[in-house]
Amino acid sequence: MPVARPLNAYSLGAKGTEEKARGASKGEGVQCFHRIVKGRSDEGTQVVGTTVGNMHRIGGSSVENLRLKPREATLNPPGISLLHAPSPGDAARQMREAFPAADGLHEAARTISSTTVDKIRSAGFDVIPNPTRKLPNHYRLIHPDGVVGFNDENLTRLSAVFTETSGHA
Amino acid sequence: MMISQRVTLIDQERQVVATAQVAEADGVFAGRIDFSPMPVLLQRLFKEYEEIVNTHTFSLLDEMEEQIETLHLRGVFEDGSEAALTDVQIYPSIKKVSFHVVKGIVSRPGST
Repeated sequence: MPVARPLNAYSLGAKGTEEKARGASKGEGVQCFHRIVKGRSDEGTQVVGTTVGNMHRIGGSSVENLRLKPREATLNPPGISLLHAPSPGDAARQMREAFPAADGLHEAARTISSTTVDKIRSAGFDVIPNPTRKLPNHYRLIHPDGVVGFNDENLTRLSAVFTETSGHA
Repeated sequence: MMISQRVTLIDQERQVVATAQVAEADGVFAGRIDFSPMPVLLQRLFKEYEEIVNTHTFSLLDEMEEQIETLHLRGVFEDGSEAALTDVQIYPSIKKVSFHVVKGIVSRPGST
């Protein structure tokens, strides 16, 4: 059952729905604006008239979920994973298709945090393309100061530019 | 209706590394796995893979997948056919597996 946040009249990225996609400038790609006529029950929800962006992080927008994992801190440059997709529902679907037996990941992907490149940059971070064989739309969210840039103060600022949607079963 | 079948995973030396009960859907085989015959080093590899997936540390994905591909795992199905496997994903903590069969590399019992 999807979680309505805060209204349940509209939903993001649902199949069989009326959808509008608005292009954005400056490398923002497409910001999704979806008005649902007949929503599927396994998609997230969002208030009409808002945009969530096309850069998605699996899981919530908490500072903890944006923190570098130990092995991510050793990357050059250090950073966390983002997926570029038209909607959070698409990102969740990609996880299920790419990792069909990964129950833990599927559970985590019920919640997706989304934003735009411009918003990430406004928070002092940056994004670089980092395609993998399985995830050609994979990006890495980095900070100009490297590992030290991922401190609590900066991550709190970053967390504020993400929008959570949930119920992506 | 998906039909479940038993498959034995073997390595390059034809040693059994795991057995699984899988069903196929859209070219993906997925199901439960018993990896008790698996050498400890291989178990560690798949534990690491599972951690990367579950923590969404996808920057490390290619490196891990390349290591798994070098194992050249094959599947022996219950009808005796044998096939090269690709995109083998094993999640030890939940005993789940998924893989694809490499098309055109299937041998049947009695074939030359």
